[in-house]
Amino acid sequence: MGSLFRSEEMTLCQLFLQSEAAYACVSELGELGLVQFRDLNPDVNAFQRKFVNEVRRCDEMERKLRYLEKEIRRDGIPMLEIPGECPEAPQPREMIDLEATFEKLENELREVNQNAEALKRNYLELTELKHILRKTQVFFDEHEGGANTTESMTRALISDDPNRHMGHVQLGLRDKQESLEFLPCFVAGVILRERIPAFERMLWRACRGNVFLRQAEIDTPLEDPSSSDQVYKSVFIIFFQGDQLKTRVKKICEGFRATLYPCPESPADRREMAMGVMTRIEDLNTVLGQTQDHRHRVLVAAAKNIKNWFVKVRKIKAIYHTLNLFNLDVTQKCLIAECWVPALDMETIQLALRRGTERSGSSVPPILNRMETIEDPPTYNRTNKFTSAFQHLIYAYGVATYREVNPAPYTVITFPFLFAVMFGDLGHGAIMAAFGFWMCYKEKPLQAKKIDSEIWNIFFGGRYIILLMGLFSMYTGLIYNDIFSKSLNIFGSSWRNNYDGSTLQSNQLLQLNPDSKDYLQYPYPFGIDPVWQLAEANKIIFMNGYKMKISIIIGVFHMLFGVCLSLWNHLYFKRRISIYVEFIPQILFLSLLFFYMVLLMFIKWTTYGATPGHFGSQDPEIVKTSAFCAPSILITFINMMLFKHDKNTRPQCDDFMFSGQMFIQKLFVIVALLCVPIMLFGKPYFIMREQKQRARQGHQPVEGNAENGTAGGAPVPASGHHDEEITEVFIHQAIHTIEFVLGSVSHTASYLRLWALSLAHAQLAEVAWNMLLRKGLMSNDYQGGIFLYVVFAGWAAISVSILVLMEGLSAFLHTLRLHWYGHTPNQYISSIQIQIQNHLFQLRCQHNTFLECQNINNNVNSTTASKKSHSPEKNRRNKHSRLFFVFSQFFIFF
Amino acid sequence: MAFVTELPYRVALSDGDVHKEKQTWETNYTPIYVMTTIFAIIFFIGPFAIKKGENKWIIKTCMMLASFFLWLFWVTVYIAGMNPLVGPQLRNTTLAWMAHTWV
Repeated sequence: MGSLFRSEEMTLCQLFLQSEAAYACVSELGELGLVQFRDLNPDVNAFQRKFVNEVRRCDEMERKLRYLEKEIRRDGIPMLEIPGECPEAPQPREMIDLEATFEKLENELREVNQNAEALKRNYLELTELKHILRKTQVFFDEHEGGANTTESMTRALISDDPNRHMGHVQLGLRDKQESLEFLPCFVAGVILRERIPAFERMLWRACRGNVFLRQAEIDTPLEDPSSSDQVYKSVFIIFFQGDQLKTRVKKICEGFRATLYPCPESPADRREMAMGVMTRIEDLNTVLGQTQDHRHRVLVAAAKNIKNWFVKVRKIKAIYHTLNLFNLDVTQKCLIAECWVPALDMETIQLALRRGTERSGSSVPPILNRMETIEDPPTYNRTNKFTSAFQHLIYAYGVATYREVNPAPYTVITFPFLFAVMFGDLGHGAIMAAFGFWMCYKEKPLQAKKIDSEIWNIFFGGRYIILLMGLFSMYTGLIYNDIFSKSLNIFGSSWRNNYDGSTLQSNQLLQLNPDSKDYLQYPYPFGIDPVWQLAEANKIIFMNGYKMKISIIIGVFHMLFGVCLSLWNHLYFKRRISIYVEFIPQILFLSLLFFYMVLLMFIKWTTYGATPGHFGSQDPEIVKTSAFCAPSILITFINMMLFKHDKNTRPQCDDFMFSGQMFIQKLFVIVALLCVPIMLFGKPYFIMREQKQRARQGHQPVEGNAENGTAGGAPVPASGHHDEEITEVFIHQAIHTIEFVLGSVSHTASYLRLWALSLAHAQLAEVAWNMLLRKGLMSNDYQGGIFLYVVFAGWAAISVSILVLMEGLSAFLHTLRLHWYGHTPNQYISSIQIQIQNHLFQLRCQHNTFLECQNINNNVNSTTASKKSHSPEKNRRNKHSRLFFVFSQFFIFF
Repeated sequence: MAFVTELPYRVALSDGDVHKEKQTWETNYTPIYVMTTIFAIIFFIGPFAIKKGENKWIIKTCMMLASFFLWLFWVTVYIAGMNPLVGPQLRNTTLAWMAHTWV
């Protein structure tokens, strides 16, 4: 049956495809996503496969597309999402068109970019020149407007001298005559602002202080053409004398990557140059603008289709990768493929193949043959959008072997339920349920948006889990009677106050006594009595006692359920021996010890308590069942395991809960302990016997088939089950037994986290209420209103962020742990052979990713091909690591 | 913390024979019957109500599992509360309010 109960039946098929039709058929199969292809060329290098050229072309196309995408993103152009269905894989001839388009686009873009860069460089130079001209004006003006005696001299000296290309400036030398010979020169340029101090120092040191540097900052940042960063630069002008200094200064400027510009010294020249520069800048701006516009147009046109193209190219690549797995037959006209196919989907696959052949226009129909095989097929669980999230939770622990019972469908209920036991709060549960409901209700629009955030995708992928967790939390919140740390009194509490006025006035804290009329002798009908939320000191004590017990009860039921699932596995795989030597001892061990403890809890709850109508009686019979005599279950259990008998410190009480208890307990412990050697040696003994029988019968092959028709029922497995070494069997079984025995104790105790987390949640909620919202609610007048408004915001923020989100995540994690270690290992037959996840060849678009082409990347040399030879070693290695793990658990437990 | 001086409540005498309604001390099993019936219907009869649909099996499993665990949770609380061994320790103001409102 094609349900989630166990993994689907898979058949190994051989597929014969005509070469022309191969591409189209594989494309159709990819859209279906039901086929897993095996690699028929495992020893062939990736570069020697048949379709390696096409794959290379696809890689090239992807590279070009990525370049385009980068440019589009840089410009901030929105890329259109694919509306509706993903595009189909294009035909091979379309690939050439796509290649040409991409080539054209890429070349165009590169050209535009290069031009833009050159223009920007030009622009930068002109801008810097403009700034230089402006700033040096200031420098020269200062000298001009200076009040020193050299003023007139400088004016006279700044003359147009066509022979020198550097300007001469008088630097304030007293001696004018001599200065004429050593007329100083200057260079002007632009440098990054950060480099100025070092530049100055270098100039000072190298030129021994004989140069003079003036600098001024450029206010606006300039754009660096190659990196498009905005950088701050400064204009500098250096005055010096002589040629040696000139060369030195130039070298230093080169070293600091300062750009030097020729600057005319006369103001008239400078003004002319400035105007020329301005016009050129304007022209350049126009050209630059046009270039950018052109680039923008090209990118916008590309952005419309780029996602589409990505999907198409990836699909082509996937198809060619798959085709690389195929074998070419002798006649070179036909491709042979081997694939695993779910048995129920044979017709669908046939139809897809027929569609493919029709599309490619080939005349020869493809042939799909079933093949007999002894290999282990992959595990395939057919899930829908609701169950897939739960299935993935289980996959994260391990994938079941072929045709094992699948634990996922039960997780649909037990996971939210265990979460809810830890989270139990009606208010927070309602918030969570509302969030989950919104996500599920708006599923389609939210999916179409294709939001990129990973955190959102995690939440959205688990929307059904969140919805169920919220709903169950609301239920457990009602039972715990906890809504934002307050209780609801729907049905009327069962506790009353019977203290009179004077008692109340003289005592601050008073305790109600159930052995009196304080308790109405019938419990609150749905959940915990609302009075307990009002209790001062012993609320936690009471809730602890109750919650710990319920945690153990739920834990024992959950673990028993897991073990029971293994019964289905044993029945299906026809291992009747396992039922007797594995399943029954396991159930006995669990029930006789832990289920007995659960029964003790129920017995204690029902037998010990107040006797209505005889409150405070001293009648010995009544005292024996009163609260005074109630035994501690933990002590009882410990004494039971240790075969100890404590001295009775309360002589009015019986030291047993029901008659025959001591004998029953001793019997249970002995039987449970006897189960351990059965688990340890039972199966290896039977396997040894079987092997001996087979060895004996193997020596008489001729008579064997005729008379002993059933040499063990099924034909002798000449399959991968070659006789295991007997030591391996013993070790295997020892690991299993130790794991089960230690695990049962350790995991039962670990279910106490259900109690621990619900306690933490309740206390956090109470603190949030008492410290925040209560202060706001108790404030008076108008200010109180505003104060409450603010305080409510704080309380709501804490409630959502800490109590819902953080506690929710924490409880989720713990529930996961309980499922992975408490429930699933009891059920998997051979959890050692945890299979590699199957990789279906799927071309469909899922969630946010374009494709789930899992067949591409790593598992091309899938283990299925080489599994037979490798599995014993892998098993042995795994077994030793498991043994180590089990023993470490042993030590941790003690 | 304020001590309440005037308490509009009924005085409960220590020998406890003044009560408005007659006290019956039989254990009230009604809630158990009601809840167990509700969950039993979902557990046993519910699966037969799902006839069509390709997800029949998983819906049935979910119904049975959910009804069992929810019932188990409820019945544990109920039985735990049937014979409490201790009572809540409350403040006198709370007790006064209880006496006033919870009649």
